Amino acid sequence: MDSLKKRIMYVNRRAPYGTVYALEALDVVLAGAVFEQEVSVVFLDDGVYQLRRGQNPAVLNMKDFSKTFGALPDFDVMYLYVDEESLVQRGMTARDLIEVPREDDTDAVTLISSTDLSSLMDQQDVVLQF
Amino acid sequence: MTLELDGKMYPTDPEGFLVDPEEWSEDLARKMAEDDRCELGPDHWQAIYILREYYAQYAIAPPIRILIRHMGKKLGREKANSPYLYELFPHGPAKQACRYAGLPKPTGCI
Repeated sequence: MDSLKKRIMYVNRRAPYGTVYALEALDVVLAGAVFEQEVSVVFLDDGVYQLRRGQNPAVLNMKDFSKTFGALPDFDVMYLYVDEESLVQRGMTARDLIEVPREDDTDAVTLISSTDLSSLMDQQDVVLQF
Repeated sequence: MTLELDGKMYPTDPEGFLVDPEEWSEDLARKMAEDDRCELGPDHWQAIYILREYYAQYAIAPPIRILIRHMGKKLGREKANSPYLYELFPHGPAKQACRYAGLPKPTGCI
């Protein structure tokens, strides 16, 4: 069965609200995770805003779906990679991001350099961009 | 579609799931169960409140596999398996229990 297991990477490049991309991507991740693939999610460019702490989209009449990232380790999504450069360019640090505790209490939100991210992308069977 | 209770109308989707989870009350859950000829006991309420808590924390209704894993952490093994949940909610645990709990329909679920 191992040969059927694919490495799938979802790449989020857009801000959480204003377009439907971020929410759609999350829906796809949740649906895909049920098939027990090896799934990781990347936050790149404006996508890093999706993990920003203290969102209040109620003023936009939107549900705060940043809460749902917290459920991802239960769906066997163990890595939420954040491109460090994108974060720095937007004046943010790891402290501005939500935490997504895994079962062993380590944080699934992981900063990654652009170089490491490129090589990680090369190792994937599928890379989907949103 | 709507559900009527004490003269008040509550909007639901075509399958009877509440449109606004905030409108939920125990009375509404009882009314839904009554319409299904089902009586809610302590074990039902325990599952319902675990689901509501899950939704408050993660803003989604968990699929059955995730619900079972989550209940295992909360209640221990004997209450965290498919047969137990199907006994409580014969129409499909995720679908029936989520509906009684006022949650949206779980995606890709029985």
